[in-house]
Amino acid sequence: MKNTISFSTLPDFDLLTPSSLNEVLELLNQYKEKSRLLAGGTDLLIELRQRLKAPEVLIDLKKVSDLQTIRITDDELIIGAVTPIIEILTLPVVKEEFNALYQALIDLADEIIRYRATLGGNIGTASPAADSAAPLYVLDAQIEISSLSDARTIPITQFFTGVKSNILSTDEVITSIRIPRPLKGTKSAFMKAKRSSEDLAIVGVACLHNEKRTSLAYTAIAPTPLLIDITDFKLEKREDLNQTIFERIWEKILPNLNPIDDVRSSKKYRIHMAEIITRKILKEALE
Amino acid sequence: MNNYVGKSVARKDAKEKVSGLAEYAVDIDYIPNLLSGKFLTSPIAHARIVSIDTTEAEKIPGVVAIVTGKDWPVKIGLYAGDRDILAVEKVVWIGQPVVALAAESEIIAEKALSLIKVEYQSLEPIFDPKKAMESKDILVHEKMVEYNHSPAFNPIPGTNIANHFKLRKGDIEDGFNKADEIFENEFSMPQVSHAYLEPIVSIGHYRKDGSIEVWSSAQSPFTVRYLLGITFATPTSNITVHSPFLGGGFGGKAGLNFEPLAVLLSRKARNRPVKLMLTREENFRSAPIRVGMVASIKTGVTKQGKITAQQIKYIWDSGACADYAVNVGRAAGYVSIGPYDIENIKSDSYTVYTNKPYATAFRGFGHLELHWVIERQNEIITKKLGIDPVAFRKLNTLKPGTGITGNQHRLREDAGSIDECLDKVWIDLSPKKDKIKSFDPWIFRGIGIAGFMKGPAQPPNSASSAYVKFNEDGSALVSVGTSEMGQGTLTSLAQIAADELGLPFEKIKIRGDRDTDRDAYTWQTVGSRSLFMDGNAVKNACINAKEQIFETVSQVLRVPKSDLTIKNELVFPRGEPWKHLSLSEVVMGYMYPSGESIGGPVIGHGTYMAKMTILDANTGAGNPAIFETFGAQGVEIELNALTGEITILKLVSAFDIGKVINPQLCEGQVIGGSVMALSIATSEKLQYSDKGDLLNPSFVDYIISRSGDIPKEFITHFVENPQEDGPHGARGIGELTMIGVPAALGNAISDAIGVEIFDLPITSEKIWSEIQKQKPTLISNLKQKMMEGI
Repeated sequence: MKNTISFSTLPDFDLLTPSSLNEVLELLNQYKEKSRLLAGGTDLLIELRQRLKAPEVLIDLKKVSDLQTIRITDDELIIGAVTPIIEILTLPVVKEEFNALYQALIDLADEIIRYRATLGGNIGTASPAADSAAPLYVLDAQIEISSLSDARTIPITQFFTGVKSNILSTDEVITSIRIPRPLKGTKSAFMKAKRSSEDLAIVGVACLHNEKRTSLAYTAIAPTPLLIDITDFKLEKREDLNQTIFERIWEKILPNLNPIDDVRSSKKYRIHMAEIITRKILKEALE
Repeated sequence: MNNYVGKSVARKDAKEKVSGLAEYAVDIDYIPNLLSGKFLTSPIAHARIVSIDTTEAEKIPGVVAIVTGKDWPVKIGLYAGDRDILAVEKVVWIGQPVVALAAESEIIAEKALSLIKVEYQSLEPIFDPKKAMESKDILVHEKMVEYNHSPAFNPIPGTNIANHFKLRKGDIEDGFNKADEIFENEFSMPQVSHAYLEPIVSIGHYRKDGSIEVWSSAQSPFTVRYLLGITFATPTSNITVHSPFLGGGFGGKAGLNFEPLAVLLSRKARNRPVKLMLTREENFRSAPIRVGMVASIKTGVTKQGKITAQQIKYIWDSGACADYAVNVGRAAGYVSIGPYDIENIKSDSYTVYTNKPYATAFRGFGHLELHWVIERQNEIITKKLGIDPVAFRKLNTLKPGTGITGNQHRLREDAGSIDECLDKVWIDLSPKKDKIKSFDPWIFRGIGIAGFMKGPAQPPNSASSAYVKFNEDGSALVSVGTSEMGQGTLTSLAQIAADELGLPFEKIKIRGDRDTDRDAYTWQTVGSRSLFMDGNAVKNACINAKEQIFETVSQVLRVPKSDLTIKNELVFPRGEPWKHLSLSEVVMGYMYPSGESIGGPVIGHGTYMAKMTILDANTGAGNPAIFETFGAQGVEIELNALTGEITILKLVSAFDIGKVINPQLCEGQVIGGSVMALSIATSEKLQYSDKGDLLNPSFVDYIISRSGDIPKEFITHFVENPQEDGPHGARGIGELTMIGVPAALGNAISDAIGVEIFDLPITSEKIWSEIQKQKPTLISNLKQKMMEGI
């Protein structure tokens, strides 16, 4: 039997601090699976202390200014992967046009963590409970990925491949998250069920509604976040949503949900809360 | 007379703490040749140790010493000596320290630990306290009868019962015969963590001459010193224990914890000092926690609401060791019926071993738990009988002259009044109850109240002492034994001293750290006893110092001692302040113009002894406590029936603490304590796998309240019926601030939605699942309403 030790130290590793994206890509190319990327470190440092990961090198992204910019163009919001959550929240346009993202980020962990945690890290860790995932799903976010030899842009819905796994290969890094500016009149929102006022999600739900489409996204209720389009139900105004219609919508959503029973919540309560939040969030979107 | 008592004087340690200058045990790294200690713990809940192989670990450069249980197979404990320093023959919980080592650095220590091989032979574990109580085959401690027990305790040989406390009065069957209604219910509460901010740190130094020096985050340094003396068979005078500021304790640092292990490591490490610093995970798994409880209660009541009989069985889940938890069972045993006067009582309180982390003292010491049972039961009774909850309680509460804790000892005339507390809380809760209707039909409002009492649970000969030592300029040092872990008692003691000695507050020094060689003795810093016990000792020390001062001054001024008084650092005959000597002229001895001198340096000393009796083993009769503080708490809540979520709108408290020494500090205790209790009531629970492994050993999943969970409004009343033997009439408050909260919350939920909760914690999920059980159609109806409402 392997001894279970509660470590207080970190394992040995070399800390590399590149100052440009190109240096990052070169280091990644050199060390590949022997390296880990350090963004905010809010998950990684715990995993290191618990010896769940034993990288030879940590590539610190905090000094790479290219990865920490926020830009708003006529078409999209582009957030550098290593931008601290707290900075994203300061931008008025985030609240005005990307409300679901704003609500998810202002409720992510607690204020101290939000100074450190990054959007790229939240996605990159690929936790099923990643708070930012649900809004990014409904907002059609694209993830920009680079390696020394290549660059690609993929829809966020293709990014998560399982619990704590993603499509990044060992020499790739997320450089930015691009979110198209929603149509005028779009409403979006995020709500999560939690055990205290500052907690990770037992279940998270995001909703986007405009004249062209209505979609919902869920976190912490399946191995990866889920996107469910309910445009077919033709919800245009509050009167279009009643108990019967909702039951039909829920019939469509429910088979996709596959939560676990754990110390945080039972499967049943997760599903119940997903349903209640869905009712609430849809109602508010139509009001 | 009182320049400071009764005023919100700023904390003595405020600047040190907010500036980061205050020193905690973790900061002590300046001891020469300090080694890092680390221990390996048991991965199995119950197993015999077959072999321990440390050969590979010994080869690691920088490993200085490795110890196993066999190096010092002495059982330790305060009331029941049932705990190995390191497991000797078998392991009894997952997380129990088995092998420890001292190394030049933590990294080396961790590396070496991973190379140690321990072979175990599994034994059947037992986790459920009810099953453990019945079990004769699976015993956590087969050799319990051989352990040292304090005579106040009654372990039952051949069982897992570490203590059985009995409270008996009248004839229980007769009591039930006189009742019109009988109510039977079961209540429970899980084990919880103290969740103090500062994990445990202990430094041990076993010197070549056999003397022992310890620096530890210990609440009760004098108890640590005394028990270390027994553990290492050395006179107490050979031992010095330092306890710096503590980052919270809440009882979790009250007993003897990791100090013997640190000393043992130092002894083997050729007398180099060793520092053990627990990680949070180790603190969850290996350090003591709070008891869990299962209780069954049967109450007989007349139609008018008079309780005629109370029969209770408490089972306290103390985990693998009960050294301190036996006294939780005893204290909760003698107060088992709460603050009520009942003719017929049969109560049994059992402290039971299970293969889980071991329990110790916890703020409230069984009283938060027992009042959850009593005050929830009372709510269920009043609802059924249709009587006003406060009227029902007042019909049954203790009044002066009635038998306190159900036995023959009478409640004192100056003991304070629970009825006044109940009234004050109810007035603030009830009037608005029906006026506010929520917009959403799934939001329900409710109010709930609970009354309670608690006194310090301590041995009958528990003592405190203090000394006051004057300096040349007339300023003074006050020394006490009580530790500072956040309560603020030291500030209150300095206020008492300043008023007694006629000194400005700034001229009283009271250190925040404790040193058993330097400081005056106190038994322990527990049980809300310090202000009362140490406060009396400080007052007596000041009186003694004044005696010495007046002796000198009366000779110089040629006035009788009894005429003298001190004010603004001047000593003078009452009414004649112009005829004064300044304190600085007297406290180091007075010199006449001729050079002749009288008197000498002033050191005043004072003591205070508890006045209690040993309780009768068969009935629990006797005087169990120096005082009881009475109180009541109530909450107003909003409950979302669709999600089970609760919002605490208002938390109202009233305590009869005799005299408020420092209003701001008292209020701080009330807010801190009631939020801690809300956290326990709504989210805290140590969760185990079916193998007994703790599943939530971190604050990611051991949920404590966050700032957003704090109630919107606190209303606090302090009732001041003075206790004649308290310092300025004061009684203790620290633990009281928690006790009524869980039951008040449970009662408010019942009031809001008619759902009865019997088990803590009351999580949102718990409420949701109880609504489904008790009101099966409610949620689906509300879901429909939710979609209709436009």
